[in-house]
Amino acid sequence: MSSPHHETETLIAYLRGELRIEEVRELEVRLREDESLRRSLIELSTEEAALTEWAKTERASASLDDKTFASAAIPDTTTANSRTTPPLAGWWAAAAILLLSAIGFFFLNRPETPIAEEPGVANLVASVDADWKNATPTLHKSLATGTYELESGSIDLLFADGARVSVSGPARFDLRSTRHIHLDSGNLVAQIPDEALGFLVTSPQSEVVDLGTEFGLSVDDSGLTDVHVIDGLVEVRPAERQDVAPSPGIMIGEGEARRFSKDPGTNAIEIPVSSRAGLMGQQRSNELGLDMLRGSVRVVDHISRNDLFDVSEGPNWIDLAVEQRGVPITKPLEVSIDAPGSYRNFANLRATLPPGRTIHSYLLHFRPNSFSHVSGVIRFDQPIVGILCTGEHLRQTDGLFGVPTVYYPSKANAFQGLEPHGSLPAGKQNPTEPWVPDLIVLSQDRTTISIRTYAGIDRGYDQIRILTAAEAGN
Amino acid sequence: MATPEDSDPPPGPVDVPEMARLLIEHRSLLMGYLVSCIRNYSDAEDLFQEVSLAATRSADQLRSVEGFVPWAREIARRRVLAHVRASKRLTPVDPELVTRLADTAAEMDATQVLPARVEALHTCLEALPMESRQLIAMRYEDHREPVEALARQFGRSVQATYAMLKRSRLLLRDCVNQKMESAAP
Repeated sequence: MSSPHHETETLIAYLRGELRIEEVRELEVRLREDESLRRSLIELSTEEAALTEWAKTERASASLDDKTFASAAIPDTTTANSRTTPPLAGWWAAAAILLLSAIGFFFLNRPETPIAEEPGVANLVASVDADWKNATPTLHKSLATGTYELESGSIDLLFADGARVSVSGPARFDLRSTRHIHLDSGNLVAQIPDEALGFLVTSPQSEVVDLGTEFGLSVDDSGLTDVHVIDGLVEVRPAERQDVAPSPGIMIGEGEARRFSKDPGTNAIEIPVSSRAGLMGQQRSNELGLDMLRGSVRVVDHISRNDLFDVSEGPNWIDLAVEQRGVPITKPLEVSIDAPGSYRNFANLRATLPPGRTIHSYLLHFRPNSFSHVSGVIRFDQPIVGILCTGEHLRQTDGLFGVPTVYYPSKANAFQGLEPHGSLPAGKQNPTEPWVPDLIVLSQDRTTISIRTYAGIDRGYDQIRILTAAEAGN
Repeated sequence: MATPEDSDPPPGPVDVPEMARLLIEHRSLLMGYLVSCIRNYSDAEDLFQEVSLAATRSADQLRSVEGFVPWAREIARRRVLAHVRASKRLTPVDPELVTRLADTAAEMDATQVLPARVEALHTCLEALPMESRQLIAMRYEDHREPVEALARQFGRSVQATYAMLKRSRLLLRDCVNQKMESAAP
């Protein structure tokens, strides 16, 4: 744009919806990159809005004046150098209308999500064996903008709007704003609730605008970017096109994946989609003796007291914490389950694990934030030798298998284990998702456990301890 | 930026009448943001209504009057994105631009430049010739009114009316810019 006036005219035409679509796209490319142009647009749009407010008041006053003074305009004798205050009657009439509308529709609208006033860009809400190169972020603290290098392990970041991004090392990423993460290399999985619509994930080759979904991004050292849509829909724009010509982007639907190369002339090719587990550190899982995770199961290295009693944000998860490994069993140990099968009633399950084994222990923890079921499947690389799913069995073995990073309740809690009862009062249920009993299925080869659990918000948490053999033939 | 010492009302919970006052006082700023995002005045007014309802309902979350504009704009940003989604992107609205505009507006809050511009605009309107001011008032009172109708009312050709509107608007822009420059420290 050659002159300030020309720019003003273009921006006003843009605001009034008078530009052609090509002109809109060309201007929006510039607006995305040029902050001073955005400032001009904000100034002009504010002035346009102020002019509209003024015009309405002015015309209303003129109408009143017409009746009273048979005059069409505000007297021209108003002091030229003083601020023109719109007539109070007009403002407060508007206020009354506004309030009336607000009260009228008060109960018809869904509640607004509370706006968190969090410092920094994102909170580090989970960290599993994270090894950082250039920083040592603290769990449950916020991270500032900047570049981070995760050499190994995995982390979960929670952004202010509720976007949750899991990053698996090795990875290098920039936190650019509360709504923008840039992945230079490595893998991430982003879950975007409605409130965070428009959350931006960029890589050197692409720009992914989320449309309310879960997707994974994988950037390798050669610059290839893979976008995997696990749930919902995303729009991907090749990064190179930003400076050349506006692009409507490529829409990728659920269960699809595309690979973007560095060559701007190359079309994105379809590739097989990966699951969350596939994107998030299979290697790490293998080290922990986990062959496969499916459903709403995630590995955490920390279960705090708050995790037991506070309602968390975001989707429901079954957290899997690795407990003591290689523990020798020197005396008979009471467990709840020691044989394959389906289990629904956990009140009177008892079995005895004989001494002589060496085992690894895992704790599954579920603290719901809504009345709903959560299910998952975990396959271990060694057979499961015992499952403890009553509060009594759990408490008896906390001392033997517990780890310092997990908070264990010190006194009896009726809801620590799986629900022993056969029903739940109607008032404690979600009417759209009726309660069904907790379920555990242990596969015939003993390596795979399937879990479905339901814990009402006010009914504490569910925990299960799983004991596996420490090595083959053990 | 106002400090707790020099702000008018003391920080604390904001009641519904106070929220209504804040919404009216800052309507131009919030409408300006909405219009910059969705470029349709009618839709922006609908969204402003939604923002007003949400803000009124969430009044107890606002910690201080000074934080009203960024707080309400954040509600507006969410509403715009929801609007984009609900309209299935038929309206070409770029979600990332919506966010960047919010960030830019938030940076402008620090210098209070936008309220100052609105105040300057009111002063400049007073200095505008009567006929131009009337034309601007009619043009902005109803954005859907075609210029042809205005031309008929003013007894001018459509082309002349367009030219007068354009000249008046640019005069206002220049006037506001000059006032801002002369007021700059």
